[in-house]
Amino acid sequence: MTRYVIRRLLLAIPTLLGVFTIIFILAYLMPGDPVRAVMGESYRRADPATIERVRERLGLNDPWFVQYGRFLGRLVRGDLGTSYVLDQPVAEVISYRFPRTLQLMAGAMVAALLIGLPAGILAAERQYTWVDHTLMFFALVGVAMPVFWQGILAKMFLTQDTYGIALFPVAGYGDGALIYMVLPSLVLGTHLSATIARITRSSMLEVKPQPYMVTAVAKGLHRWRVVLVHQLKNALIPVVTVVGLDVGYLLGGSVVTETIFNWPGLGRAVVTAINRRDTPVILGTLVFGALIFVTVNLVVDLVYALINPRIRYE
Amino acid sequence: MAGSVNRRHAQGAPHLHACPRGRSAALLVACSLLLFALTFAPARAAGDFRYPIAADPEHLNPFRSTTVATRTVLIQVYEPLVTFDPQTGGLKPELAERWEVSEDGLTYTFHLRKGVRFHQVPGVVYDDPEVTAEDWIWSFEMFLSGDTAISEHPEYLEAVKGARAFTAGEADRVEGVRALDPYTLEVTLEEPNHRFLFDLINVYVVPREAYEQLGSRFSQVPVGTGPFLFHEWLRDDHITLVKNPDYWEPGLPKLDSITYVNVPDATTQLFQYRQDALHVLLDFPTGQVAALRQEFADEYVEIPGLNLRYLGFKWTSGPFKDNRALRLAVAHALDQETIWNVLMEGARFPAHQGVLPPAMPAADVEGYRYDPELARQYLAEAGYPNGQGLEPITYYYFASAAAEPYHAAIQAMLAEVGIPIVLRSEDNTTYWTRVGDDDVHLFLSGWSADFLDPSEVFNYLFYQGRDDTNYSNPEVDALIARATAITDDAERNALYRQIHQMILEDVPMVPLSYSKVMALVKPYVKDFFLSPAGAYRVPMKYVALER
Repeated sequence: MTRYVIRRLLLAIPTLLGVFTIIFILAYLMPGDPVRAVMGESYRRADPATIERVRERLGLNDPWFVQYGRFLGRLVRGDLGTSYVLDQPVAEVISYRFPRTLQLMAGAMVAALLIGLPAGILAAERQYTWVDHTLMFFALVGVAMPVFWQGILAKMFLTQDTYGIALFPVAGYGDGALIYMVLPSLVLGTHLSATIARITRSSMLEVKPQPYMVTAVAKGLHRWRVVLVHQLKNALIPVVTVVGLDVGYLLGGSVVTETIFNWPGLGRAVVTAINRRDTPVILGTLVFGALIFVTVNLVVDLVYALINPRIRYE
Repeated sequence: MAGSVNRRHAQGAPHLHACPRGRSAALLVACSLLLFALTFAPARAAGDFRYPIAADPEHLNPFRSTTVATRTVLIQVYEPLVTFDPQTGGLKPELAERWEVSEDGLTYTFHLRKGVRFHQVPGVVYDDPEVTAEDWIWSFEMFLSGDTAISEHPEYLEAVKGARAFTAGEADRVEGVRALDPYTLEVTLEEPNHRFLFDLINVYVVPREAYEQLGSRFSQVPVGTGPFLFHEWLRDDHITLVKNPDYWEPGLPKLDSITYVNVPDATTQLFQYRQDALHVLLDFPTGQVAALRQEFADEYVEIPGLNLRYLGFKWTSGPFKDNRALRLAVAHALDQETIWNVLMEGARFPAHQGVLPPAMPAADVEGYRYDPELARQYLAEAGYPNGQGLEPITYYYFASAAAEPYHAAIQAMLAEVGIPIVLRSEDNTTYWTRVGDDDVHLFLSGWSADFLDPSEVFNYLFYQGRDDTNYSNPEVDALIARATAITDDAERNALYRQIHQMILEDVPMVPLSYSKVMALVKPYVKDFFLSPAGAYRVPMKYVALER
């Protein structure tokens, strides 16, 4: 197990180096002059000497390989740089916003599990009945419908008396009030809940004919116990894989969800940074995202062993 | 077959039956949700004004304020020597009680208001919090710093004697600024400059103690003398300012606090306005302007603004270079009434005059009228009868204008007279980087003047090739420089009218429209004075909530 973890961690180094290089190249090749974005509306009023001084201060006059070397050198020292426009270190930008993104992702995950698992179990139990068809229809819609569209619909019908019922606030963080979290979590979690429902259903159906299931029923166990303990536990491995992989999706989806619901998380910071060509923030947050993704994948692989003791790492 | 096997298994397997308590569970969930909504919704204070901002400020550093979002907040926290009168739009004293100008127009003597104190905030200790002339001298020097990490706005004070030398690091003090006594500040200019007082509107007094003691937090925690104190900033969500209890103007501010709510999307802003979560609506969703004006007839306010939208021609390259007739053909082919009053539902004024927004002096000159026949004549004169031989021209525009529905109409109007157009939109930063390039020949652009003076347009769009059109006419350059130094209003405005005519003769651009500053304001909001420069300039100290 320890050797496996060490091997995986060592393998992560070239993966991350490749990711960092690609991220840097993409950010470098992005069209648009960062100085123009940094100086905002005052660019057109500024005299050329001021513009040149800003460019020099940001190190943009250096050739690309010098900038790349600086970027890697800082990464090695654990320094993500300083934002061009926010007057803040990138690490501060991330540490300030990531907990809020995590909060949203956790909300989405809870919503997805609360909706997806029961739906999948119920659909499997009522296979080929109207319950199954209805649930799988909504699961299909949930998988197919883009996040931004769900967001718009949710805002129209669940926040406005004019079009529906004003149950929730339109947008914002609301000083952390839980009510503000409901709609963004539901919207972000819809795709995952639909995926979980579909995977749970098919996995439950695969497990159902297994001999130990027949034994459990024959022993006269309560049907809840049979389904939730014997069947569900054995059906969970593909579900855990999907949930693990979808953490990456949630991180990506949070960019859109946060923008739609004005949620002050990391996703929105990335969008704003891209619009402002704030390269240090773009690079820093993407590097951070890549680290998270690699870590989560490793954790998911390790969790398999906990769910299924037959799995051994060599 | 597989289906039937599965079905057989399904029949033999244990089933989950509908829970008899399902209905009560659903009811319980619904009740909990309602309770949850009531319990966890944050309470709003009665004297708190909820003000939408479309973008989160980058920082709150007054020396480096670069965007509308930053300024929106800063002008409530920091104060200049002079400011705009919210009702007349003219200049009025702020932290200077009064001022005198020497006869030669070179020396300004500002008599400072006594008893003005810097904000008391945690982490900042003053020897004496009262504002004196020395504080102004330090603030001037900070604005004029040549280090862009400190200031990006030396241009506000570049007219001051010795300012350029100080910015270039050739002098350790600004020659033209001195304190005659603690409450008298004397500023001497290099040469007379009628813009100087207007430029001072953006120059605030900043406490040296706050800058030094807050260190890197200074950009996040503004400390000034204004009617509101900084309270908190949750980035990308809201900024809260609270009433300054020691404010120098008796009875002001009237509000207890202002919460700047970050709402980038106009539709969301509208939803929140409907929910009473905002007290004003400043961004109208495209395509809903007319409907909202009708629905909220009693809450709708508008005043003419200072933004010009124009179609720029590249003066130094491409088909428009040295081809005035082709530029005129474009100018006369555009039906501005249809574009702005029909397609844009009256969201802006069609530009029937020249390049100056109508509220400015010297603005009342005749613009280019819509006349397709005349446009065709000019096109023939340009060497392209009925457009023959004219290659398609790319019309370049920016993403934030892309949602506006008139680009295809402009393309069709130009095609109607024989000018083929290809539309191309870019995200804002790419657009602003590319638009100055030689291969961009026709572009949509805009300019926002800060105050009601023609120099705000002429000095930036038509002086020494500064604009992306690269327009430069040595005669016009000389007259603009001359006008800047004239302190007599009538004489200067007569010269500006002449300059305006000359520019329209040259046709470096087609003025398309002038902005309207529009807002929906809740009926119980009093004294919300819109400013021609934009809603961001509303002096919030006068605003009251009278429910």
